[in-house]
Amino acid sequence: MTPRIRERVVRFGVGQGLSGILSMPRSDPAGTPFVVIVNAGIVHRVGPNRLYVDIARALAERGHTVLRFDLHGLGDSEPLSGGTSLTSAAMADIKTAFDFLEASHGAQSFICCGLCSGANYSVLNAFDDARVVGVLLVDPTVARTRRGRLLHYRQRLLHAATWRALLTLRHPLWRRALGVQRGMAVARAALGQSEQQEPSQMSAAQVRIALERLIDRGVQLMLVFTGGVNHQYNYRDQLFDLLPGLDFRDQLRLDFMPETDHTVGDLPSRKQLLRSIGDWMAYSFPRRGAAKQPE
Amino acid sequence: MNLLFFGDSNRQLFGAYHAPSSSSVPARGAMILCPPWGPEYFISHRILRRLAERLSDSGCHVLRFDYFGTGDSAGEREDGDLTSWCEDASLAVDELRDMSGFENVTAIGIRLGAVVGWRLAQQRPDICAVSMWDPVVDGAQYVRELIEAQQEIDRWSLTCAKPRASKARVLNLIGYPLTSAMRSSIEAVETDEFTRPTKSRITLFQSSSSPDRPLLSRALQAASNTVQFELVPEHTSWLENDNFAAGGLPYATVERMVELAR
Repeated sequence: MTPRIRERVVRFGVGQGLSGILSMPRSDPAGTPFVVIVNAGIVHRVGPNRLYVDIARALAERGHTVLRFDLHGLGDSEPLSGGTSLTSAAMADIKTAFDFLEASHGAQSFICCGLCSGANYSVLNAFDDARVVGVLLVDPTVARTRRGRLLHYRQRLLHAATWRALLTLRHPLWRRALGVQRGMAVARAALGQSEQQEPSQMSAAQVRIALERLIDRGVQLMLVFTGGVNHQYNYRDQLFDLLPGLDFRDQLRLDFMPETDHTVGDLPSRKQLLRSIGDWMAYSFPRRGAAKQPE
Repeated sequence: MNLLFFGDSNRQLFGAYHAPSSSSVPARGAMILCPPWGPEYFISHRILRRLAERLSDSGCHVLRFDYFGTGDSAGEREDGDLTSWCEDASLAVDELRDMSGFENVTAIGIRLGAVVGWRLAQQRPDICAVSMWDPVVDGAQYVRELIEAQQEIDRWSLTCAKPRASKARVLNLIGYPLTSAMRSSIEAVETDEFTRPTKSRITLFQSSSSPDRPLLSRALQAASNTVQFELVPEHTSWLENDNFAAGGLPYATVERMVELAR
């Protein structure tokens, strides 16, 4: 953290039950939308391998105000009260965060950001809340394509680890053949859920409807896909094959980073991602009085 | 729970202070919780919050904190090493003493945090007790295990062709950078370190299957220290790649720690 930015703890929501860290520039803010970062899985607000801290500070350096906070039930926020689904609770919490920034800092528009489930929640929220003018999604859940499946099987067949695992009986196929359920499969079986049911997951058709509405509203999109979801997204243009004919206009930035992991943990890739996010912000949300420059 | 930043403005540390949750319970002392580092830090966050809440329910003043370059504290991921993390912990102890009004403090640490707690007990006479949960006993072995875990990930990866060299200046270990300074300070942790005498009461929490258990037990008893051994009844995974077991809350161990604090 450099002397150019400052951070402070914030508590908000009913009974001050939500906790977060606000990163702000010390000088005049850029007058651009506020950024709100949503938890990935059960990792608290610092983000997996501290990704959210790095994003928040890099954007605050560029003049943006950023809130990374814990949804109810996570990190230092209060536990989730019963009777509501995880997705509904997350949507309500993100709205509460927007309301808080609006009331306390005069924020009028927002960019919603997240990794993995945090990305899924960000899309759902943007679909629902007209104050969202941008979404930054790292490894959101998207459906596979036929080309992607073929590429995946080809890569697996040519990969030494596959054959080693098959020969040493450690390959998942053996577990499936032997009827051994592990981890999430056990939990799903206990809950009577199918493999396809994830609380924040959308089908290709739902993704299309959501993105169409966002594009019509003028929402700027930045999507990043890493090598960590190679089983799901494994070539640069998969998004366009998945959503044929969808006109993204001038509103999409797509970064494909197959060389890094799901949390963009290695230093060179982390730096590259932060630079890319900064460029997208500068292009899509220029400071007051600054002209929009081509990328 | 009071979330706060403390320390020098150029080196701000983040803390979560849990005051005793009820004035009807007598105050039982002050506890500093020392987290692990890197990949293990993320797994332990929920455990440390739960432990802090339960200890504060029983009348303790508790401070959780993040080392410089970790969590919500200032600094980059590649900043710091085991020596500076001990200095951060010492600063956190000062902060806790100020907030709680207690002169003496119990240090509770997990994995590398347990080493931090142990060193605090060596350096500060106001550390009256230290509880170590699965402490790292052999730093070189610990680094080797993390490298092997990363190599296993690389072996399965379709996008990373070769396991990364283990001699690189900065290693990527399960998404976290290990600098040469961090590495040498961690690799310097050896069983011998635990043979030093201390006036602090020691409690060691380990599972019966821990390969370090006999070695560490002998080391701690060698110096005629007062040691209490506690078996951890649950399987506690400190790395995320352990078949989804990571992230679970080891309730029984947490409750045993609270019981011992009473």
